[in-house]
Amino acid sequence: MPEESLPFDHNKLSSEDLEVLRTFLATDDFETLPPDTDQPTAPLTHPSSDPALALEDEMLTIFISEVEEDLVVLRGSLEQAERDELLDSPGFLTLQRVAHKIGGTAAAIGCDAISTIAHHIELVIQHITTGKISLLTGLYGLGHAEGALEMTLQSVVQHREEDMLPLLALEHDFETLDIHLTTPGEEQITARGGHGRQTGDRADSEEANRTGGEAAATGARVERARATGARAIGARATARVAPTIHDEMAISLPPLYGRGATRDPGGRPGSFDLQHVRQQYDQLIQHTEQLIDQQTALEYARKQVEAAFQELHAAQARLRRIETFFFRMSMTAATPAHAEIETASSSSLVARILREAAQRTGHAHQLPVKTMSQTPSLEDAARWDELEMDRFGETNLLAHALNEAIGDMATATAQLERALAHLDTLVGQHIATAQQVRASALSLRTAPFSMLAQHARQTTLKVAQVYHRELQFEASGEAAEIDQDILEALDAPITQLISTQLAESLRAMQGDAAACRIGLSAHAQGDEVIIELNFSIPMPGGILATLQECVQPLHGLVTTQPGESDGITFRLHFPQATGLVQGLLVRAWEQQVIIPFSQVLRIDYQQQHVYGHLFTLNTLLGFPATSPAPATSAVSQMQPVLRLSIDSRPGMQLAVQVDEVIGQIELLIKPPPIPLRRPGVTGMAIDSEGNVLLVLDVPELIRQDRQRQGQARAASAHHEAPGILHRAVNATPKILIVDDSVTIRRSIRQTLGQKDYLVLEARDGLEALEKIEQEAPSLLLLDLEMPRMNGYDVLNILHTRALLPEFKIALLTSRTSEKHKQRARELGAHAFLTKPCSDDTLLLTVAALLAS
Amino acid sequence: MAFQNITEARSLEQMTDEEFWKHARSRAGDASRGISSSEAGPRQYLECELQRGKCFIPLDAIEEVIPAPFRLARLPLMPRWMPGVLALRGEIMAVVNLDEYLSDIDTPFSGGMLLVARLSELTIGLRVPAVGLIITIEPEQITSSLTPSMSYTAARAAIVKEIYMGCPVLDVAALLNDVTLQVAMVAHHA
Repeated sequence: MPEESLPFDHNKLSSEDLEVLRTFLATDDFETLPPDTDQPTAPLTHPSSDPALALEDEMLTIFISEVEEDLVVLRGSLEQAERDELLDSPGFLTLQRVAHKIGGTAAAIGCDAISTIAHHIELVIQHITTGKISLLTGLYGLGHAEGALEMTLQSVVQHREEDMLPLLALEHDFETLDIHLTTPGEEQITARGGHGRQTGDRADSEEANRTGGEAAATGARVERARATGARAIGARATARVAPTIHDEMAISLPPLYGRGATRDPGGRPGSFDLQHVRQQYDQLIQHTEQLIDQQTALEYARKQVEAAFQELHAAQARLRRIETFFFRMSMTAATPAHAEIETASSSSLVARILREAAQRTGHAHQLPVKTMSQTPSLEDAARWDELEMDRFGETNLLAHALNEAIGDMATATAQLERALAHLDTLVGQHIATAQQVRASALSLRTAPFSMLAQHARQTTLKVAQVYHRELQFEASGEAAEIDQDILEALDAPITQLISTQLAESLRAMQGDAAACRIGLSAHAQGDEVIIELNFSIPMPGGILATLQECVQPLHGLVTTQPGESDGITFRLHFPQATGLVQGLLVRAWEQQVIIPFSQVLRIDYQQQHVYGHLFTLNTLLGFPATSPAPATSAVSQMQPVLRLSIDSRPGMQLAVQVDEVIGQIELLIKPPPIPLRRPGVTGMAIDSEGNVLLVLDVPELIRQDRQRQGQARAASAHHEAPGILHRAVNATPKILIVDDSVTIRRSIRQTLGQKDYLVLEARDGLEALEKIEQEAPSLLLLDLEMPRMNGYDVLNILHTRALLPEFKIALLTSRTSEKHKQRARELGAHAFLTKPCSDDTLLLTVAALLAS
Repeated sequence: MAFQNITEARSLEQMTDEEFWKHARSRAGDASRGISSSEAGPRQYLECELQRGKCFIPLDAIEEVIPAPFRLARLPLMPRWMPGVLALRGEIMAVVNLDEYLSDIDTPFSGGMLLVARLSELTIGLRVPAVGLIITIEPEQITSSLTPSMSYTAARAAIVKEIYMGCPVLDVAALLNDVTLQVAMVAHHA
């Protein structure tokens, strides 16, 4: 473009431009460029033989390479946003993230124009998503901004200096497009020539004067740059937006539940949904009817048992009467004087039997009086014949009656046993049917996992089409019935992270033909549902936090582990039913408590040597440490150790020793009354005997315990002799820098190199966790925005694993808002530094944290 | 009991246990308010035996008196005078050892009676070794408490504002508020 042909006209400057000029002209240190300079430039480096400057030059080269890579991702995201033409396009999220990263790195290295343009991109996206500017205008503006970024970077590549014209042109274009970028607490972007947003306090007066001088002295060039730049960039942006308005990438999936929802794994229309629900409902009705029908049979069986009991009681009564008679007869035999009285006694059972027999037969006969020696044996009595009654004496009759009574008892007992067995069978059936009713009722809340898998598969296909990449999506356990709450909670985040984070990773991997696999599976393990999501390629950070947000309200848990070739696996654990607690009933001291299954990996009855840390439940609960053995258990029994599931890696496992594992239990959980809520006690349950059982969150109890120990250590260190502090200071502290930008890592390493620190580096959160395990650093300098696992994720995991008290953490990020600081504090960060951070501030903070 | 009409009787009959107790508490509360509103009139008090003498508790502040259980579920981070919690008709109730709370003396928790009282979200059982008679006290028979006696420490002065026959008369509302506050504070400051 013939830039020289455009004369400078002050009238064309906006009021903001004029304000900038006035501000900078007023400064003392006014710097003018030679009149023959074509373009306003901001010198970045000075070629020199000085080693420090050589290092800066090297860092600039690394920076250029990084920004070039980021620009590729940024372009892809912008294209996606343009195609989607949706306010919630995932492209915007990626754009914002990449722009933020570029802005932070650029500010750190002194490329203020690039930093400012990147910041403008972030603001434009904010304005688009909040509806302050229209989508089309915003996209148009973003196109301009991307062009300005490219041009500015090009100037850095070619001249090692930033060309300011693209930035000024961009701001002019924003004016033209009526885009006024302000954020709360900030002035309008044009007020200071575009400086000061990312650079913050680093935009010192010298920088401002320099830039201001450039702006003032090169007014004509600014104007020319605006005119030419806007035309060039604008044309490109228009060309990009126009043909892609109705692109196929717009991923508009049907909602999981609600209108248009389908439960058909094959994607058939929603009739299947109703049919499936109807089937489940019919099943519930059928089971309930069975339950009701069984009541009649149960009632009949109960009556049979009652009747059998009555028979048994009658037989017992007869036996007792005979026993009494035998007793009296034996007494008579012992005292012969009474024999006659006894024989004549009308109350005699035998006499009564004979009398009744006589009444029946009409044949009265005299009972022969026989002595005991004449009494036939019981065997004879067994051959009883009523017609030959006169052959038998009273004893025979009694023996016969006894025999009959014993027989009656045996019959009644057998009847009772049969009736009880039948009742038992029916009760068993009743319980089984009741469980079916419960299962049917719960199944009304479930849906097949295939619904979620189907959405994820469709999204993956779309991403594969757009990026012309081979993506293998593997799902398993699709038939598993999962609680609808879980599926609903996971649907949006999973499809979103495939369409956004996976897409972003693919863009970053352009040129890399490696196949990418995405795995999604579900299975039941014990009383838990486990959903596993894995990616075979490195993924951007922040996924863990996203998943945790949706998992925690459902009492779930997320764990991560490195996957194949820098990939990552997320395991989501959920209880199968809400409102119920299913877990181990254990004894701590004299008290029984419940530890949900989800927290326990396994039970060791012999202590292993693989535990990272071994705790005692009594200590964690503040119960007396000495545990009296229960009367029922063997004193010599080994105290069991529960390995916790929050970290299954060998050497890192947390384990807790309990006094006794009593068994499994399933009870309704009640939230404790508010004043009684205690960290580590998630609820209370009442057992069948009316005892209150605490439901524990053991990892939380461990965190609390460590926190108390840390405070106690700090308090005791405060009162310790200075020698201890001296020793601590004398040891060479290890500092781990966690940042995805190699530029930033080098820069910090250089600064920390001024002191006697051992500096380690990690390029993302996952690598940081590995370094923490291997090296046990004293201090972490942690970035927030990183791939695979971001800073919040790292803090979350350290918090979950109760490792936070082990070291100090300073966040070093370009995120400056109070909400970020607040969240970081909540997660346990000890300091918050803003990028770019001066060497002095960094060194002072590090020293203070290490000394504390 | 005379019901105003058959409808009321039927509605009571149809209530669940929980609804019934709620209704009963509400009625009891209304009644107690009626009593307390008549400031000039006599008031009924329950005489309670403590390790260091007697104390009196306004009868209208207590929902029921039950035998103290032998076993409680202990919670972490609790004041020494709160030995644990128990379940009363499916509801979690915190138990306060009144002897230990008032006079800070270490008393083993065994036997005795629980006086059940309620403060909005928390039901509290005040454990006393034994309860005595219900007595009616005229307002003029009660004097203001000026100095703590051996029955209670200075820290509990706000709970004991009145004295009858040399024994403390407890302000149950103040006691429940203090208990709730302290229980929450222990967890917060741990």
